[in-house]
Amino acid sequence: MVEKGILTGFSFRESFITPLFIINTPVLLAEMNLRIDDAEDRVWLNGMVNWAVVAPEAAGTVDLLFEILRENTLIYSIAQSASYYPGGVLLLNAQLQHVDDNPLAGGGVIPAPVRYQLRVTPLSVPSGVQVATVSQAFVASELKATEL
Amino acid sequence: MTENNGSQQGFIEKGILTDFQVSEPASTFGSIVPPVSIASNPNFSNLATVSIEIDDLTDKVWLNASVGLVAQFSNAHTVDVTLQILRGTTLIYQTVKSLSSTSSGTVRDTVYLEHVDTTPLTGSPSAVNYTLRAQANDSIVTTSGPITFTAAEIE
Repeated sequence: MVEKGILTGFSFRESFITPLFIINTPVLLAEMNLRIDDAEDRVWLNGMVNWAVVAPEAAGTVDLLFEILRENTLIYSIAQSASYYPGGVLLLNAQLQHVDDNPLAGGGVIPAPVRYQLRVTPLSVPSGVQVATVSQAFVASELKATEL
Repeated sequence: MTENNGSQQGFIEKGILTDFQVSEPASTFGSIVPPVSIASNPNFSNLATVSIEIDDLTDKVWLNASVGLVAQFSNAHTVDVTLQILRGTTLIYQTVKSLSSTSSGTVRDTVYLEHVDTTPLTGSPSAVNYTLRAQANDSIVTTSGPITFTAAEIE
């Protein structure tokens, strides 16, 4: 019987201090390295981003894409919209979950640090809207295959 | 509804993660082409199924799911999406996500489910199947990814 999942590594980044404004280019929210020591390892990635919209004097919609990258390669993305009325303030949160079953990308020296990034890319931010992240948490757990 | 706070009793620790299974039919937004329609009431759309071997009656299963949703509104209103987790054919968890728009257009959103199944087994050790499914109260909702469904055995 093969059980696939003892949690053997854990790394995280968390910030709730500095708002990051989203205008028209991708913004890096968090970055971390996880040491991977076996080609069979998987990495369970979880993230949560709290963000806010301050609307102008017109209704509209903001669209953001929240992304996870491994060594600059996109491995996960999820989109979230904020549909607002004139003058409104919206508080939202986006939650991300992904299992990276190929953290070493098929090669590399073992053990190796693998870099994961949490990034937000604006898909649509209408003129006059203020969009900012408020806080975020980004967690990576190494899961090691085991045989009983 | 019963409450289970999972607290330690006496000096017994209850919580080593000993198995982990995942079903991730899509990992990026827009990768399901064409998008999968979310069925309208009374039907459901199955989004993912995960199976995990459980070897002890006292084991628990920590379930987590995340789904990207898209709603195409023709005017300002709200649509409700019901998401369920089933063990076999038994409903064990349900939540509802509302998507709203102030006008016509496309709205994208994320939904996250988390549940701890404290009674995955009723008999001898076996594989336990969990299904993630969704239903909308209006036929304007689809998913184009991501869909991630994980099950962790906790001994």
